[in-house]
Amino acid sequence: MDNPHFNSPPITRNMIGKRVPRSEDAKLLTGRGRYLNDIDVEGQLHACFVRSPAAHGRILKIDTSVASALPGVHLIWTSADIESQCAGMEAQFSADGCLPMTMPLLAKDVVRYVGEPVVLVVADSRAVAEDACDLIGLDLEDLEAVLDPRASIQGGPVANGERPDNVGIRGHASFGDVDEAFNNAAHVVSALYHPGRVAAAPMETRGCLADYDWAQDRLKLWVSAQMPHYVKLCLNLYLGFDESRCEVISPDTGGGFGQKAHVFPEEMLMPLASKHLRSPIKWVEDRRENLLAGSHAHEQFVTIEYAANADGRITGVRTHALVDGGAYHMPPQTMAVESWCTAAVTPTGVYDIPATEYVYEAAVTNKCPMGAYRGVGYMAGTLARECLMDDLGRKLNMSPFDIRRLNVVPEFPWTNPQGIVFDEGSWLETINVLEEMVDYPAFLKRQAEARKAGKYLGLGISVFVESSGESTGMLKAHGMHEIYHDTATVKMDSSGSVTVTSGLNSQGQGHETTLAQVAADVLGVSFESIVVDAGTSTKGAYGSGTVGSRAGVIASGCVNRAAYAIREKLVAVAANMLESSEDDIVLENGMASVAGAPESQVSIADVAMAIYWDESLWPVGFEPEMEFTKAWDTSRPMFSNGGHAMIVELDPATGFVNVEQVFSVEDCGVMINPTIVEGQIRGGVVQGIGLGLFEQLVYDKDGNLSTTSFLDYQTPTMDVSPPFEIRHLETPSKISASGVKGMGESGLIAAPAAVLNAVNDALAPFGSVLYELPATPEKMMRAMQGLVDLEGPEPWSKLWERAGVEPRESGSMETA
Amino acid sequence: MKLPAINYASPSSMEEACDLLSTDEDSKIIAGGQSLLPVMAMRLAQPSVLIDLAKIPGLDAIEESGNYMRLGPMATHTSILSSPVISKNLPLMSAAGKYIAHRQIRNRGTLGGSLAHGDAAGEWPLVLLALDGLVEVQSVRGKRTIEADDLFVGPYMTSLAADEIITDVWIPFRPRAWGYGEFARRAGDYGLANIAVVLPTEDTGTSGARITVGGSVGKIQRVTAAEDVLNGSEVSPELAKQAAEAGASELSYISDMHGSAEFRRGLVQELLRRTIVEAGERI
Ligand SMILES: Cc1cc2nc3c(=O)[nH]c(=O)nc-3n(C[C@H](O)[C@H](O)[C@H](O)COP(=O)(O)OP(=O)(O)OC[C@H]3O[C@@H](n4cnc5c(N)ncnc54)[C@H](O)[C@@H]3O)c2cc1C
Repeated sequence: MDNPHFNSPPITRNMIGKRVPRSEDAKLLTGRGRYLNDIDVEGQLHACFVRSPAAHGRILKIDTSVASALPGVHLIWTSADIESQCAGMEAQFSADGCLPMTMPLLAKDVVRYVGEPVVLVVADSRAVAEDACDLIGLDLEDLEAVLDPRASIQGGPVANGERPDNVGIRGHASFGDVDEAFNNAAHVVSALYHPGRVAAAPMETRGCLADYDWAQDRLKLWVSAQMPHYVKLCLNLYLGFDESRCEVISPDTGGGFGQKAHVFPEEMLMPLASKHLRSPIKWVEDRRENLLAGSHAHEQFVTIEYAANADGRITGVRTHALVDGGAYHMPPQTMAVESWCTAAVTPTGVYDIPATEYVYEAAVTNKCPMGAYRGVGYMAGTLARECLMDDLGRKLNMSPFDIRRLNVVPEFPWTNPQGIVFDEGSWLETINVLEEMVDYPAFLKRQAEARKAGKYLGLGISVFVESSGESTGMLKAHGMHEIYHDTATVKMDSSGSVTVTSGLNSQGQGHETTLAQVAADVLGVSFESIVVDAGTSTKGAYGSGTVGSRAGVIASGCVNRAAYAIREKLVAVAANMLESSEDDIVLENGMASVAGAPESQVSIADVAMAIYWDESLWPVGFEPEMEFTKAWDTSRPMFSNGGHAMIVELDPATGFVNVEQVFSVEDCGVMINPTIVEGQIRGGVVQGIGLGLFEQLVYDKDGNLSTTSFLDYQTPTMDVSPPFEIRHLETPSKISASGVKGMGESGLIAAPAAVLNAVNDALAPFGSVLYELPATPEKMMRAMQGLVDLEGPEPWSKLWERAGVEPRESGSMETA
Repeated sequence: MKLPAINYASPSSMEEACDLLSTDEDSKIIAGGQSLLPVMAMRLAQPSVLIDLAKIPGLDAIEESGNYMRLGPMATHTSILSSPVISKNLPLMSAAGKYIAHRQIRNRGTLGGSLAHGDAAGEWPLVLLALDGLVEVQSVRGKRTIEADDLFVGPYMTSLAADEIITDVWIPFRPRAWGYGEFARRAGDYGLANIAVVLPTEDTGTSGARITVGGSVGKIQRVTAAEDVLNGSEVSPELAKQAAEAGASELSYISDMHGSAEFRRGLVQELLRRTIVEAGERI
């Protein structure tokens, strides 16, 4: 099917590709941003929650009597108060084997993770609300806490009665002759990788401000979110508000990284309470709430196995991905997407592997629900694939570059075993360029000399291909049936200035700048004449969400189509004014001119003025709209690619690992703004260093989270952020506006694998290999003594049997 | 994490502050607030009244007085770090103070607050003990002096009585060789291990080595076993190693998500060795 909105009108590049300084920075860097908590509405009240202190327990009694009597308290709700208004938020992922689960707005009868909201208190101030929370008695009867996903996925004690088997998703698939590959393999390598539990930890925590106007039956909801239109839909689906009566507003947002691509119980409760009290109500969580309940991410147990021929060419890959999903599906992302994506999307990567089979599972546990965080599923899958590649290289005595070059896809288009077509890429070149940037022979020399002096350097590389700009085409390629829907509105005033409204809001990525660059080139006007409203209100254009490396591709695609419609108007009138053919009109530098006769020209502002004010200059039958809303989408998936190399130094006396230097190669097609692309790379890679070396959410044996502040949950800071060298390759997409590809997630997708490979290279003289992140100093000290904690993979036959795969004779299933 | 409503007093003299502190046993002194306020915001402490020392004149002194440096309790970390007399007379203090937290916190946090808070990972307690300093305290019952050796009694525990206020901090200065070391994963973090080493030099004529440890050991303390190894001998890399081994095996360690006792022991031993070597080079 080829819908008109899959089409991208061509653009002549002028501003696209320039390092334009970000127009939002003057505001954001001088403290003039207006974040959620900067917005106050007259008469607003404040919310706080009593959260579950237990991982799993039956609620015997909630005593609110003392708290209700506290001056300044306006409302105290438990689940009984809201049951009739909302039955909870049901969520389900559309891959095979995922069953729905319902997350209550407030825990009913049973609490299922520490931090789960149980009681809502609304008071004059947050401080009073907290005072009241302290006065609420919560009697719980302990239930067994289910905390180990590798055990709970096999049944046993139940974490959430809605899934009595503890299975949030379970499915499998096989493509190509995997058995043959393993039966004939000269080498088989396998390992179990365990990236730790982390949180996206945006600097601005979650929050919202609901203002229900009873006189007009209208709701305004300010929310710190990545999917404001979806939030609006949920106001209807879960709460019954008419969408037409709701406006969801996105103020400046201090980071989202996927965490804010959910809809949370707290955000659904504020509108209900505001309607009930007829008062505006604000909820801004503190860091403790954010770490307890804001969604956790990335923790999986990924077992991966390669079959390779004698030369080291990989002929088959098996993957088993198990996510520690927490207590509920967090809507709409769910726990399922993480392991499904790892197993179904990432195993072949940039490598020409003809056969793949996989099982994905999500274990329900009594922990904070798993959510999205930059590189959902991609990070863990890339970690497993790229680190096992190094294992294979070590086994065959090949350099990490050579083993990858041997296996990389040689030419395009390439169809992976699942049948997904990759139109273009610079996959081999990425490996070559990384090797050159690192100066591999020089590094090896330096490493050898350092070792003699008792210093341990390690080099790790990781190459990736990323689904760029999550689109309908991407969903379809993976067998899903949903579609995406995104629009942009472009409006030109009679004086020629332009307003662009995007349906995709910004969490700091720089949409205001990049979308203005695109619109400027489509219309031939100056960058300065364009003002971008990056999705600040659902009254504007529609967007499916700033997720999945989408905005650069999808929003610019929509802007291109909407601006192009205006361009056609300008061209028609300019041709009439200049007495020329439309085909000869050039729009550039604010002027409409005739190709080949540049003296024959009129300013675009004058053309706009004519369209608004002077009918005599119109061609016959002209329709004078100067405001268009257009959708854009793709029917085919598109992919960006790249790689990172990292050099680390391990202090053998302390186990501290220092990242000395990062080398990044990125091919996201045509860059709209290289400075912004580089910012995305740096930020993502540093988050990857966090996941690789520092960050871990720690639950104790009773299911209490021990890491509830930044004292204990340690994100990377500037002093541990290494210098970067970044090289850009450019393989344009054939389908997007101007050839751009998405890249927002790439840093975090691939950096942890580079960290682990570098760490393992540094550990090589000690004969140890780590399979678990973060590589804390203690783990490094133990590894240097030959002690590595993570137990090995379960037998494949067992994993496969659990997933319902037919038992097979193939002895290769036990090669692990 | 918002403070409950709280009473606040801002006395203008030390006597008045002592009076207030003795009348209400749930009252608490506030200095820079950088340790106390977070604890209150997390609702782990709920004092009835905060008695602010900010308006009492003269509490932020940093001056030479005979063979001592006299520092007021309200001297901030930043003012100590930027003081030329401190870097001249007590270079160990300047070296250690750089590791305290981040700029904004150093601008508000105070010496008196740090010492009274008694965090085992705090730099100032470690330094005071290594440099053999003392604090003068006052209450409605009168004044007394507490030697650093008697001040730190346990994790977040000092020998200050609940009604006592630190009014002065005295640190002797004379030629001494020193070393300071800290292992923290990120700049500004509390150290996993902190060590201060003070060694006598030829013209010091004082007793022996003073080595103090914080961080992983739960309580600011001297590492006497390491001091014993060094006393009376010339410091060499080999001797530093021996002292570190002896010292590390004398101590007991905490164990938490940032490291097990065994791991921390290894860190402390290595840091002892490095810091003794560093101090030895200054003799
Ligand atoms: C993010 C962060 C990181 C930090 N990192 C470090 C670090 O790396 N190293 C470090 O040493 N510190 C660190 N701190 C703590 C900081 O140094 C504090 O400033 C210090 O511990 C307390 O000083 P204060 O003036 O803020 O005291 P306050 O917080 O005001 O008071 C602390 C305690 O001391 C009592 N007190 C204060 N003054 C007196 C007095 N004159 N007499 C008797 N009792 C008194 C108070 O009653 C209270 O119990 C950090 C703090 C934060 C918030």
